Amino acid sequence: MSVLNKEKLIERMNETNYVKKLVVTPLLSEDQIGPASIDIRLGSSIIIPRKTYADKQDVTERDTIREVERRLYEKRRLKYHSRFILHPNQLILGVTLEYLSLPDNLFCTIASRSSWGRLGLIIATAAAVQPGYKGCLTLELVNLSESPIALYPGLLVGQLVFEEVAEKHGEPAHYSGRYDCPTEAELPKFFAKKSDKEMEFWGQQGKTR
Amino acid sequence: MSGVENQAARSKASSLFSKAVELLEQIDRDSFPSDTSEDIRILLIQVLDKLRDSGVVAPADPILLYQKALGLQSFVSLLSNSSVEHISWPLVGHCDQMWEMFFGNVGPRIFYSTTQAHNYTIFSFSGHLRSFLEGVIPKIEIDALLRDREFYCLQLASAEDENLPLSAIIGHEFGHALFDKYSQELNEILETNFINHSKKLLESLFTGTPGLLLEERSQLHSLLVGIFKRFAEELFCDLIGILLMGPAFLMALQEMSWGVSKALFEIELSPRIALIPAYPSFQFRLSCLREASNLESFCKEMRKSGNDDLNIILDFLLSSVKELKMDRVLVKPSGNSVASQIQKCLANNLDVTKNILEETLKDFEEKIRKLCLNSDEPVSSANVIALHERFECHILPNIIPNDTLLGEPARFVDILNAASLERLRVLSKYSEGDESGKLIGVVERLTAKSLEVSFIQKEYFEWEQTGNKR
Repeated sequence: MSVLNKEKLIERMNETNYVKKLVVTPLLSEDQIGPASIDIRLGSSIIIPRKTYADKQDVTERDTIREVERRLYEKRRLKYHSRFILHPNQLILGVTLEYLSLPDNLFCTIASRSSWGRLGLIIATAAAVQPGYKGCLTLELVNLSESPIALYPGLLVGQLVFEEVAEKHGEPAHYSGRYDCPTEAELPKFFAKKSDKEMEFWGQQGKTR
Repeated sequence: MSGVENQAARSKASSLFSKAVELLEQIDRDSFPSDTSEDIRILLIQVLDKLRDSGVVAPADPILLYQKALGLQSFVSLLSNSSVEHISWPLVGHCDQMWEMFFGNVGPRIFYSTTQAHNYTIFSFSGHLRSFLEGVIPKIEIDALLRDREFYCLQLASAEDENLPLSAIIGHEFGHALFDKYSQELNEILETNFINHSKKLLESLFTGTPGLLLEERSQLHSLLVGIFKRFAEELFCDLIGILLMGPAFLMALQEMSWGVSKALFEIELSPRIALIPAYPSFQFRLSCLREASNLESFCKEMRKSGNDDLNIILDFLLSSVKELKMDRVLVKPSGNSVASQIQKCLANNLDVTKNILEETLKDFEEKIRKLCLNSDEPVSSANVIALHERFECHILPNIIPNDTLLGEPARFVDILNAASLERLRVLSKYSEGDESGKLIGVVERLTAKSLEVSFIQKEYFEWEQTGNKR
C-alpha cells in the first residue's frame, strides 16, 4: 500500500459521504496539505506531569491507577496567543488543534515537522492512528534540547502521513479502541479494554516480592 | 462597644483586607477567561487600598468595617472563580462579541464567574460594589473609584460547565443588562399597556379588599405595577434570549424547567418593589416565544433533512410552546395579607394578566428591533442541518462545508442550536445506562471543541484578510 499524495488526499477530503470521507478539521490554510502529508497544529489543552513523593505509576494496579493519575497530572486549558514553556527533558501531553475522522481504509502516522525536530522537540512517540479513528490526537511533547522551548497553541508542529489499508472481504479494519472522540489531551486509559486485564497477570510477581 | 473591642474589630478588619489583597495578588491571571477579569482585579485592589487607608475610612464604625471586610470576600471569590478551568473561554469570546453588539466599546463591560446554583445570573458588579462601599468610604472616593468603570458580572452554572447548549440562557441574562439600558422606554410601554388593560384587574383587587384608604389603594396599585414590571422584564429577557440564540434558547429554558412546576406564576414580596422576584410560569414564558422564535418555519426547514429522530425532537419542541395545564399563582410570604390579596386578584384574572403581558411583549419586540436588534433570523436552519449531520456522524461540527477544503467557520448560534438538538436527541433516544452518558459526553466534547476552533478560525481568517501577514 502506498502513501497518499496531495491529489489523493484532496480527493479523500472532498468525499461527501462522512463514512468514506477523510476529515482533518479545521484547516486554516490549504498550504497545510503538502506533497504527501498534512501539517497539523498544537491545540489548547495540555496535561503536565507533576513530581510527587506519594505515588508511582504502576499500570498493572487496576484499583489505583486512575486515582494515581489525578495526583500525578495537572490538566490546563491554554488560551490562544498565550505561551507555554517546555523545559529541557520535560514531557507534557498536548493535543492537536485538528479533529480527525479516518475512513475504514486509511491508516495514518504522526510525526514532528523537521524544523521543530531540529530544535529538539519531539511531538509523538506513539505515532500510529488506526483506521476508523475519530478525534483529536494526544501528543507527547518532549524537549530534548538544552534550552527551554516556547510553545503557543496554533503553531504548526506536526504532520500526518496517510496510507491505504487493505480490506478483508466484508470486514473493514475499524478502530474500536479506548479513546472515544477525544478533543483534549488524554491520559492513558489502562484497563479500558478487556485485553488490558492481562497486565494484572504480568504485575503479580512484583507485588508478591 | 468598648474602646478595646473597637480597636480589635478595626484591627481584625484590617487583617482581613490584607488577606484579600494577598489573595488577589496570587490569582493566576493567565486563567482569566477575558481581560475584563483583570480590570476587576485591579479595581478590587484599589478598593482594598482605600479600605486600608485610615485617612479615608477613619470615621467608619469599626463593626461596620469588620462586616464589610467579611462581605468583601464574596467579591474576591467571584473573581477567583473567573477561570478557564470552569468557564469555556471560547464561549466567553462569542458572548463578548454579542455584548459588544449591544453596548459597544464604551458602554458597560462584562466579566464571567460561576455560581454553585443550577442557574445563570447577571448583576451590576459596579452597582453592588457602590452600595457595598456606601457608609464606609466617602461618596467622592467611591465616585473616583468607579468613574467610567461600569461592570456586569455573569455567573454561569458551574455544575453545568460542560453542558454548553444550556449556555443559550446567557441570552436571557444579557436581556437584563439591556433592560437596564432601556428601562425608561420599556417601562413606559408596560405602564401604557397596564393602564389600557388593567381595569378589570384593579376592580378585582380593590373590591376584594373593601374599606381601603386612598393611600393604601395607591400602595397596592404601585405594588401590582411593580410586579407586572418584573414579569415583563423576565419576558423581555426571554425575548432577547430567543432573538440572540434561536430555538436553542427554548430548549435551554425547557431544561431549566425540569424538576419544577411549569404552570406556576411565582412572586415573593419584598419591602423594595424593584427587588421583588416575580416569574411568569415556564409554560407561559415558552408560549410567549412562539411567534418571536419563528419556530414553525424553523422546524419546517429542519424537517427537510429527512431525519426521523430529529423529527421527534422537532415535534417535542413545537408542543413545548403550547400551554397544556391551567396556570396557578403563588405569592409569598404565605400568611401575609397583602400577598393573599395579590394572589387572589391575579389567580382570578390570569387571562387579563396574560393579555397585558402578551401585548407588552409585542411592543417590546417592536421597540428592541428598532433600537438594537434588527436582524430577522439569528439561526440558519440550513447551517444547523449541516452541523447536526456532522454531530450525528461524530465529526467535529465546526464548519459549514463549501466548495473549498477549509469550509466556512460555523457561527456560534448555529453550533449551539445543532448541539441542543443533538443533545435532546441523544437524551430522548438513549434513556438509560452507560450509552447515554457516553454519547452525551461526545456531544459535549464536540460542542466545546467546535466553539473553540470556529472562534480561532474566524480570528485567523480576519487576520489574514487584513493583510497582517508578515
